[in-house]
Amino acid sequence: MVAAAVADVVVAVAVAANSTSPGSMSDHQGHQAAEAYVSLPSYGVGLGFRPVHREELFSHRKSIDFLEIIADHYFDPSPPKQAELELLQANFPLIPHGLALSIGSAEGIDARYLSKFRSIVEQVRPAWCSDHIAFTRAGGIDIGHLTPVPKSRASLDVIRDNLRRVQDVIHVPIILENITESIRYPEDEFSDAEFLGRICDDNQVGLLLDVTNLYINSVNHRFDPLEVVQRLPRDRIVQLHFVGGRFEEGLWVDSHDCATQDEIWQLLEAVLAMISVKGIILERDERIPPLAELIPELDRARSIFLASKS
Amino acid sequence: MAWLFENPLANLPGPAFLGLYGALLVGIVLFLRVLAGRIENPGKLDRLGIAEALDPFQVAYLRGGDTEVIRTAMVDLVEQGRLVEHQGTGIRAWLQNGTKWVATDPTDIGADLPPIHRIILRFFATPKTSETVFTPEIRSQVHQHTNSYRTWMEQEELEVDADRAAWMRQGFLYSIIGFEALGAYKLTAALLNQRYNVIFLVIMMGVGAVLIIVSSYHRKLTQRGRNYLQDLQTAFASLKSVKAVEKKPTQPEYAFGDASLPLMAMGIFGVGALQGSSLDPFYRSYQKSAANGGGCGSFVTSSCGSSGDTDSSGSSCGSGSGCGGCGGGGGCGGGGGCGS
Repeated sequence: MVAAAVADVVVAVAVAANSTSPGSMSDHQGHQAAEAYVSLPSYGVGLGFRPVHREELFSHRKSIDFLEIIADHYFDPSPPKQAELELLQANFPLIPHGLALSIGSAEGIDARYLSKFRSIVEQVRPAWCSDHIAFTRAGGIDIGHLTPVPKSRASLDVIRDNLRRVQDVIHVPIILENITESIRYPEDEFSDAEFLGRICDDNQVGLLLDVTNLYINSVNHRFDPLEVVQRLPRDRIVQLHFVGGRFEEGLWVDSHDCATQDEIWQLLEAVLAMISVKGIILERDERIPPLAELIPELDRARSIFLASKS
Repeated sequence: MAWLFENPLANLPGPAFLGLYGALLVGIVLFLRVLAGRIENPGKLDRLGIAEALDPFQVAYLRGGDTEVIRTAMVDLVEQGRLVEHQGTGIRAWLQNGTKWVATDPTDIGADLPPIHRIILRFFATPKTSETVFTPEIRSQVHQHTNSYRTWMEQEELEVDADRAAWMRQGFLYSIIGFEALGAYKLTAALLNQRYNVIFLVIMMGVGAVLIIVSSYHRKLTQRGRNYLQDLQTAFASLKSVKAVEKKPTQPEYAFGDASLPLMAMGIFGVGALQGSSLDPFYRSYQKSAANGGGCGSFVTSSCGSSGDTDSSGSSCGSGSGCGGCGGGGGCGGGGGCGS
């Protein structure tokens, strides 16, 4: 069923292929967009909030400059979830991170999801918000997984149209995250760097560069990650993600379940030597340890972040 | 004097007067609700961030004033082994004499304890039940040592300002007197004019009084104060049951500084958080039946495991009653006075 849905969207994207980008931003608009992202506040190093860490957050406040919350967890919140959101908002700068805007869906944005996402953004009033360059829905089916979009002109059109719809209702800067790709589409027309760059060129949008995803893709698909970073519009890279991955059966997997590996630390350091970002978030979603075990990673990231600023 | 009951208001037809009277009631209710809203939202609208080093007594004061500070101090003393159950008849103060804990009159309590703790220990120099501590005298003494909490709450606008609360009382008083006086006047005028169909007026006077009383209600804490308490209870939600936290193989790293987990739970949630925990007997001591319930489940921590110290007063812990007060996951788990 998932394969059918993927095929569905690939077909839909292909139908719209070869179109130009009539809605692309002018140079002036692009310049304005870049300025908008450069002027965002610089938060530092934070954590992808998971409820299991709620009680320990206040023991480690000095190591946590801001929190990224999963917006979807607070859709139609129960009273305890609403109280949790208010608690976090009162104590940390928050950045809502969506999981299923499905910005790459050829069938468009789900109005209900967008409405819920908007309500979180309006409540939190963040400096920016984020989601992924992916689709999670195709042919009316919720795939339940971040699925890469073909790097084609048709995909750029879909993303542009969807972003416009999103930006019509969400009036804070939006940044989009690169995801891991276990497959490459035959329809791909652009390299990773070209595709990300074109998304920025065509839209008033920033990038959330997941360093771990970049590393995993670079190893699995054999390219130089720093060359990608070199070719990205650096003034649009607002935030970084990092976390440990897992090497299984000859492939790196974005497992989010272990400490950050040395290779990823090295890439993070190299990326920060090349670009200046507003914030870095450590994500951990599986085998979540006590917060105290994550603090050394946050502190290490902070020292790299601060060194890059000096 | 005839004009007193012969004027347009006195002669206003019943339905018209009831309409006017109802409109007045609506106006009064709206006025009082607006006033209550102003009182509970005096100025600062942002939520107060959780302090880096939480003070359980400060939180207890926020939650329930001097009464909760007294209860929290008692938990602290119980954890330290300075308050122990006494032969099932109540609790009493213990003092450390060298390496031993002995029951004695704490008339000369060392300066190592905060003043509120000393007040409580002096009170329990002779065995008494837990709830008897809330005498006006003890409350008054404790009140003198909670000034810093009141200042904090005032500065942070967590508690309704006394002057503003006085406005509310005045507003209530004037409203209810005015409303009922007008009703009584019309009632008198009607009866003097031999009009006895006054049942709706009487009902409206009664309903109006109730509505005015209800509308005058305001909470002790401001919205900001309630938000802060809610944030604390959300941030440390698991402390609502100390029992559950104690059962966890590893406990979260809380930002409580020197305060123990039960003490912080007591501060944030109150004595109910201790139910079923190592301090369950303290929780139960607030229930009359438990207060007279014998030695089992003593919240003694002092002599348990302390190299065979015995209690000259024969406390339940040293009696070897087999109730599990010591070593059974009960009183000795709380740290404090356990061990030497």
